[in-house]
Amino acid sequence: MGPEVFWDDFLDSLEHELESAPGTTELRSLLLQGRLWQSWMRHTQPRVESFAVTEWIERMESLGWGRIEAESTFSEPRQGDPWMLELLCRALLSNLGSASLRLEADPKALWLRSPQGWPPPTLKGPLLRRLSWSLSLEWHEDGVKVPFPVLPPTGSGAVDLEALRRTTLDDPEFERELIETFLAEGQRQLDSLGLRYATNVLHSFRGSAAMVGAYPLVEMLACEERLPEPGHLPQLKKEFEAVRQCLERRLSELTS
Amino acid sequence: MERPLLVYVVEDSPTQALGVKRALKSLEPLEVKLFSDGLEAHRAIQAIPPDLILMDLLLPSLHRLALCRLLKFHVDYQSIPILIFSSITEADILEQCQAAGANEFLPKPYAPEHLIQRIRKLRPELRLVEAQYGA
Repeated sequence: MGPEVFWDDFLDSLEHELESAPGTTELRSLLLQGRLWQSWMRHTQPRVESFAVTEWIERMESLGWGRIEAESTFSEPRQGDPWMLELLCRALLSNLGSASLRLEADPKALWLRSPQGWPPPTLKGPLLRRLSWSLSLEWHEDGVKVPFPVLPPTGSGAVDLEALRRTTLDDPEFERELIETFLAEGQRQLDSLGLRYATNVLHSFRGSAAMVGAYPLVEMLACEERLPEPGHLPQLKKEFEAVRQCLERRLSELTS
Repeated sequence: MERPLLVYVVEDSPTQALGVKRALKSLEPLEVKLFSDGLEAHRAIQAIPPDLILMDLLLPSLHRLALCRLLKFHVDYQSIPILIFSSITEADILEQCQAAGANEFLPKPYAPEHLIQRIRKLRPELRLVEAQYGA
């Protein structure tokens, strides 16, 4: 069987879960991928079967799709737990092949390894961040067009100030220097992307944004790194501006 | 008077380099030099070999693991411990780094204390300066 399996119930359950509980950016992106796959399946093959989420691991392994190693010294994930659901979604929907998940003892150091290079999550705060997304698909004759997810206004959510405090080791002088360095570097990187939308710049920008806790920006850059779309530059600039405002407020606090 | 260990940090992002530099302030005795370019670092290593190298994978001028391979396959520099940090997420990135001769790999983003732990594993003679990292 393999990719012919059809996951109506699984994707519906996931979508329902996300309606009633906060979910991560990656989880919603995976839902999008699942819907894309579902759309493709509907147009190419009849529905084969569906299965319950709780049977997911055995189903995936029996299909030879992958092997899941979930070693956790932290706690046993519970079925139906959105966090566990996220882990299962990652392995299945992002790969359609072999994958391994390894849970570090510190769940904030969750590290996903996949053949397709799914970016690792930047989880330095709560595992499920409160982001709301709206996703829509447009079906065309030559494929499915995937619009860039529309993010809500980030406001104070543009930067995780607690994460920034941890990175800077509660050193106000270092925090000030880091913020100033990032804002200058970020602007240069955006200018560089305007000239050439290069993945190495997106990659470096992503790393720098993670240093200051600008996680929504990190996720946007991760998406772009996977599928670069120069038309998304204005959205990156808008998000960077939200980050700048947040960090400049923080700078004012540090210098007052 | 003990000689400070010479550490070369090869990172092209000023923000990320600053993070590494700040983390290293909690270790002694240490002297840190920053490089933003792989070739520039290679020339410096040939001139004055360091005691430890911390490097990003994606660097200007040199392809990914090229710098690591250049050093590890040269008799004069192969004993220098190399720690690679990167947010590259290929499934076998760890294996790639190990095959190139790297001594440690630290995925980004990392907590400063994790970087310190890995560095002290490579150079146990380094001491903690600040209590926040623990002993």
